[in-house]
Amino acid sequence: MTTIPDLLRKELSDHCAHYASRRVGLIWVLQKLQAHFGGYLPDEAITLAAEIVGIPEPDVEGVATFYNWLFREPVGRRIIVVCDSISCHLCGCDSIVARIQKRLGIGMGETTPDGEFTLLPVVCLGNCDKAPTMMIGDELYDCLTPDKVDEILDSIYASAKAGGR
Amino acid sequence: MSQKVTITIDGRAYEVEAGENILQICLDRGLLIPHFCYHEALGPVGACRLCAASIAPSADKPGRLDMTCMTRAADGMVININDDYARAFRKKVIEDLMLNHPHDCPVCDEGGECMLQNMTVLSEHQHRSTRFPKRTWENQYLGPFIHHEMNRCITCYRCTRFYGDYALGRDLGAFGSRNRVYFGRVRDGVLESEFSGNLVDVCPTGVFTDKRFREVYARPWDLSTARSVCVHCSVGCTVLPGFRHGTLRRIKPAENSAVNRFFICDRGRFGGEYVNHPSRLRSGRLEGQVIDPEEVADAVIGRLKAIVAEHGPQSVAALGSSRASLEANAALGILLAALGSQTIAFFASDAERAAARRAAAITVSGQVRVASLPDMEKADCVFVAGGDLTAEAAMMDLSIRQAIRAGAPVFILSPRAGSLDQYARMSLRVRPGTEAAMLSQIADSSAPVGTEAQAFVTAARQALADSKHPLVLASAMRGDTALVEAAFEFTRRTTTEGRVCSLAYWFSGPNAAGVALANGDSPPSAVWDGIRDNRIKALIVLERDLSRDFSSENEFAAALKNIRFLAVIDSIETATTTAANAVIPCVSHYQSSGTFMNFEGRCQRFAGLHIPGPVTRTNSELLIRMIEALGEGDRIAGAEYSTAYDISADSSLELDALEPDHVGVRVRLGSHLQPPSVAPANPPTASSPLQFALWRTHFLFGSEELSMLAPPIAELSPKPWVEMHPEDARHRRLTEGATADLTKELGVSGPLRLNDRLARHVVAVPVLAVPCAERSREREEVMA
Repeated sequence: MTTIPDLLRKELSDHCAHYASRRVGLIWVLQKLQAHFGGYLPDEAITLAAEIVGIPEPDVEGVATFYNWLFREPVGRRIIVVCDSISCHLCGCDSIVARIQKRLGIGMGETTPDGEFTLLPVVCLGNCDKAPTMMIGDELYDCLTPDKVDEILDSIYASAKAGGR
Repeated sequence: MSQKVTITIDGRAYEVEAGENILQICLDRGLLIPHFCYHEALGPVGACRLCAASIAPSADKPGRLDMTCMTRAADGMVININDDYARAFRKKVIEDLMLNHPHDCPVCDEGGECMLQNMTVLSEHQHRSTRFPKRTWENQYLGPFIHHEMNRCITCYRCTRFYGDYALGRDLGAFGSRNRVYFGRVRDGVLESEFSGNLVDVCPTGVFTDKRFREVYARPWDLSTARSVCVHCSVGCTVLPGFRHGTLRRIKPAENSAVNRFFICDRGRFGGEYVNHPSRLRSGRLEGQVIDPEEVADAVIGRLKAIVAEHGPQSVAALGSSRASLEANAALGILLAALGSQTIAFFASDAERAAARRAAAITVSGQVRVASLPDMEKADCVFVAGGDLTAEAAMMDLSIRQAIRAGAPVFILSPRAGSLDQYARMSLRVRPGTEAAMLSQIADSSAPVGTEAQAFVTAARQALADSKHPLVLASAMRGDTALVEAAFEFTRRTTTEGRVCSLAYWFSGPNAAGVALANGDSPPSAVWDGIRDNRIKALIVLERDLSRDFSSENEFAAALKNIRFLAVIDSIETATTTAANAVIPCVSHYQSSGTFMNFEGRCQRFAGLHIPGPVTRTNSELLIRMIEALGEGDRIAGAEYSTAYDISADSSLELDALEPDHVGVRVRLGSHLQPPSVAPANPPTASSPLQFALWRTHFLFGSEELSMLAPPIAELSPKPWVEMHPEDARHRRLTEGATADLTKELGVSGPLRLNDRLARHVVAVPVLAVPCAERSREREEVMA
């Protein structure tokens, strides 16, 4: 059984106490645990969250598998999500995805061998007027072209190499 | 009060209750609207979108498509089920539901009773227009009861709505989103709920199926079925056993609006497999010789006559059973009377008899309101005293869970926490035998309260004061007459203006309340003392394993030592049949006909199925044959229910006319037993807390002898152990897993388990109904 630092456990538990029902704090607890466990929720994180929030495990698993920003499998340090909804589809998101896949050598839903990127599709980033659009980590990129994708990835790799991870 | 309104459905006017949902109105009147997520017990949620129909608020307004389950009847409403648009809509909805459903109907266990199949046909969907591959899943191991087949899921959420919302189970969930929703456990494992078997019925298709039935599968239309009453506890749920080719294949709940409504517990559903157990008696035995059952019956009469001739009629006694019908037990009494004796007893001990008789008399006296299962669901404050309700009367527990869902606080007084305790407002762990005093303290707000119980009693008194329909449930199966009285007194005292308290006792067997009302029975000690003193030479036993009444095999053997002739009528091999001189085999409960009286004094008739096999006679038929062999057949013709049992003449007439498909009738007390009166409960005794008290813990799986012959029940039964509170163990320097030898103090020993939800100074051991075949095998292993 994996344990977490007492301080984190206390922080999570105290947070739940803010609400009339502790259950309300679950998503926040899962986000915190995801950050703690390196970007995803291993099985023990589900058990821990159930224990901290005080609800049955299936309820935690239900939430953890429902939201697309909660990951139940290991992912890369940065998540690339490319919108494939209507506007982006019309503006050529397929070519964006194709360039990313070629450049990184991974398919949709896969992680690069160096553990840097995971590529996922997303349905709308609320940026339709600047389609096609994608997000890498917390950064939003718009009006994409395949060449612009190369530039973006180059700069990310460059800053990673410079230690700005 | 409800108001009647007139609505029009497909051009016909119907008078209905205002506010009732349209779907239920239609289903009740035989108007089939395809539906999935709606279930009468679970209520409407409007999730599946299948029950759409055209609904107009009045005849002059245009109808629009709406979900009938979510629409409440209002005056003048016009509903068109068969409107073209509604039909096309439903057809499209079912096509979407069927997107991922495999075409495995020919090999699916649900085939023949599949709601999805029926609704698909009803909605006229035939052709699948999508070309995508169907999504597939891995299935989980969910224990010995339920088989999981997720590919068939259509995401109606009925399973989690029953399991989690209705039955308050905590280990089945819905995972994922949109077209990848998965219903199951977080990881493989046995489903924890005592009501998991109902998933089989609640699931509209074949995702959750009966694992045992799969092993011996038959199409539902090939099963021989007849409504019966469950034999595994005193609740008396109506069930539908299904036989084929001489074996029992499965048990389903049968709808009974006055008792179990739609559901049954897992002991009732999976325990019936005892019928197929190898230790079922298949032939008669006389002094070790295997002979025809009826020949044994005739020989027994010969032997009994000889004993009566030699030692007088009082040398014969009989022991009846709480798992045999009113009729069979009465016939046993008549047989005994025909031999000239009156010594017949029904219970394991004098104390159990006294408590059960008192509880049964109070129940049918009409002096207090006795709660049925549906009544229990409406209670707004519940007190449970004297045992583990889930293990001892599981379906009562399911009804209490409905009260809990509606906000009722539950207070539990018992030595050891059971499954219901996790949902209780408060539990008080008490020494066995002190429940009565605690109950009295709650009812009497002027009574002084000890410091340990202060918080509990204060909270219970407050909840009681705030309630309008409180309910008291008390055990009548442990011989605690003081508790029976205290619960009765509680009910009377707390029924005041504006508050009606109701009461229910639970008993030790399916017909224990019935035999508790027997006229002219004797305390069991009269039989055992007579045997010990050599006054009683012959004993006739009906469907009962006497070894369960003794704490050890040696005691049992010693008690039987003086018996010259022991004759047993039973359907299974037990320690008693093994020791008997004559064994007369009868058919199993589900093949017998008769009447059981449940905990609320409700009598339900069951008409058994005639299943071909080596044994074809019911216990009553064999007894009647024996009575006739004595030339006393007239006694049978003149028998009345009100002669054999202390029930009124009116009730007796009602019982005469009772049909097996009836919800059952509640009987009223006759006049022979003492009418109930309030007797003060004993004041709390200052028993020495240093002395350990023994608590025999009942389990849903493991403590009832018939269901223990069903392999999945035996698989889930506990192993023998001795339980102590961690503090007590610490004082005794005992650790978990060590051998706790309390033979001198309490006559028990075994591996120690620590349980902080056990009362202090109490030692708990499980009540285990180990089948006799297994016991003798274990003995052989020890000898070898």
